[in-house]
Amino acid sequence: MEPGTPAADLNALLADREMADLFVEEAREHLGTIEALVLQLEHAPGDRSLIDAVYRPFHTIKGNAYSMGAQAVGDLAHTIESLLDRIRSGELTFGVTEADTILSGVDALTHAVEWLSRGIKMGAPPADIAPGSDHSADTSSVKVDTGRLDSLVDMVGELVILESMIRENTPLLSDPNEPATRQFSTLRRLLSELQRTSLSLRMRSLDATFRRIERAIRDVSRACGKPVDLIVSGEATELDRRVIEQIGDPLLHLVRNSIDHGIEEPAARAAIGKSPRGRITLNAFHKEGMVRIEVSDDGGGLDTDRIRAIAVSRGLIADNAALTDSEVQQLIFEPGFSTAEVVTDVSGRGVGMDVVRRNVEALGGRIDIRSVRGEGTTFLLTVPLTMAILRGVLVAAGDERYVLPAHVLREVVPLADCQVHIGPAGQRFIRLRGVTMPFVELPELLGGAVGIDDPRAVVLSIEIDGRRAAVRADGIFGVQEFVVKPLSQGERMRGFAGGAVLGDGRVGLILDAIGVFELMDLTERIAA
Amino acid sequence: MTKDNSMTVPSAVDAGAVDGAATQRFVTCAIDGEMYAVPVQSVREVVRWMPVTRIPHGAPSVKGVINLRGEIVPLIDLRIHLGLPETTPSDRTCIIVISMQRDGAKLQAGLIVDAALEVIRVATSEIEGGHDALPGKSGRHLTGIVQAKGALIILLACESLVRDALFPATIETAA
Repeated sequence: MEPGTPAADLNALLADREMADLFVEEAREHLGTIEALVLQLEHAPGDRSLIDAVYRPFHTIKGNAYSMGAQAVGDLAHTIESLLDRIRSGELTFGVTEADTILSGVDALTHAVEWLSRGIKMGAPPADIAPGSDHSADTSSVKVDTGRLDSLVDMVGELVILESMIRENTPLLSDPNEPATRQFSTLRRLLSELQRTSLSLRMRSLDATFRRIERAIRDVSRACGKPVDLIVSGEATELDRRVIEQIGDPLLHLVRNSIDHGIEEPAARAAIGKSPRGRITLNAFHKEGMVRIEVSDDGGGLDTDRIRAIAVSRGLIADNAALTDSEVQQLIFEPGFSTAEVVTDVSGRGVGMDVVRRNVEALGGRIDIRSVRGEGTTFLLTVPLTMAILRGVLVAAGDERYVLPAHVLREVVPLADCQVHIGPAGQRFIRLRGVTMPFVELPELLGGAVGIDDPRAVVLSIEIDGRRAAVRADGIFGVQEFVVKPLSQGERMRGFAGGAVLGDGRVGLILDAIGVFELMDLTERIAA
Repeated sequence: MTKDNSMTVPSAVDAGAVDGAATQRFVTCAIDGEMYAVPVQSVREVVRWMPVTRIPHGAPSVKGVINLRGEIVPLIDLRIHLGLPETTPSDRTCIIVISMQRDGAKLQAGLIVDAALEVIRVATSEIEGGHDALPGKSGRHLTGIVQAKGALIILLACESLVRDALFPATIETAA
């Protein structure tokens, strides 16, 4: 085999797989560092120590590659190293061209390393590599294969289900005088700790995701000829790796969209007194047991007249539909909205905002828009910390049982203690601690049979995003942790965040609180 | 975790293997006295009836979801799909679990049938094309018809059937 080809590199690396894995892991780490440093260097091109910091990892990659016999990778790293050497010696000045060369070198190396990594796993040259996998560079940690981590979390989840099944099926365990009861509660406590710990192993910060976006912004803003500054905060916010993996693409799409459609041309900005440089803000923080990620731009805001016109022409709404501005803005998430007219080089790749929304909802999250004409647009993504576990309560609706996330539950009151009032249009409401809120019956909301004056009936006061409602349920069981399983039929499952395996082995559907409000709006519309 | 509900598909039972000629294998089942069959390679397993969780506001032919060893699988009532009254579960009621790909992801669904029968092998040449036999809309979800074991067996296009049942909004136009 001819040396200096990727296949020859792979062949050489396969001689010692353990060393090869180490090489790949290290190279990934270094490449991650380089990218961040080059972006910093662009803001401070004269900084010697930064140039040195970029130089060093390339040098290490080169050295490692040559010592492993991976000549092609080594040569590539060497080429960039030489370029950096010339900058260090003052022969070249670091500028946009140099940054581009280095970054494309990083891309090529990343691509090569990922290709090799797959080859090492398969023991043979892989076809090609799917782009877009990011790897965080974390120091002082042990590297574990993610497949093993996932199977650990899954197994712990199964254990938790098994534990609750045993408890439900063994009357002995409710006898407080029985030694087994105490031992079993210890087991239960340990299990839930084990579960928390195993899940925390899978948590990762948003840092790498935000860095990938930073890089994309740089490329897109140059392609569009719109200089953009990025302000990032909350990048240390941690989420389950699975959520992180699936949030990257929707975020990238939103950012591209903001630059391409949101931010005005520099001249146009200057003309209305804005800074010619656009500004994009990425912010992440915890909110109500979920994680909120906001993508804001200071561009022109959504043009509701134009959105309305497009929606009418696409047959999404009637000509004379009475919609509020906020409802009109929501239309951009409708399938079939973003088509040819808004397709450009940058954001139009046949992927519309409907796909963004679908991806976010598939995670059990939601997406909202706040936009002010002339001032900018903010996309608000709310996603769960993890898709694996949910703290919730089991509630009864007729003879069916559903899981309600605990974080939306404010209060539980016996139905007998509540006075249900009826408004002039037949709307039912109650007052709870001085707050008036709409009243709905869970079985009715879910199209099931309504239990008749069940003494166990309770009123659940729920709240999300400041919206409150009182929901009647036919009974409530204690707070417990549920292992969340995805439901496969996305489109028909509005109102449900997923399923959970209950103590009796049946599936309990997880009512997502947003879904409760959606179902309320739906039944209201049908009734109207 | 739950009591073992699975039954093995009797893979070796072949009905009249045909020498040399191309053959296909199907799992046969009974619905309302009629014989149907689905290709063996689409079937993950056949399980006995188990408690179903109803999906509020779900598609009419989707009966609900079941827990199949920790995985949540939607169930399609073939009776409703065929315009018959819904299944009343009996001892013989079975769920044929279909495994397929959709948009690059694995999709599983269970088909509720009155009874799962056996695995048969038929020569490809003996299969009458569905569209030729029953043209137009009536040929939907039908890949062919075959005469075997003294009965007429209707070969179901289980993948398009599952897609239509679970995603009624995106009915793919038949080629």
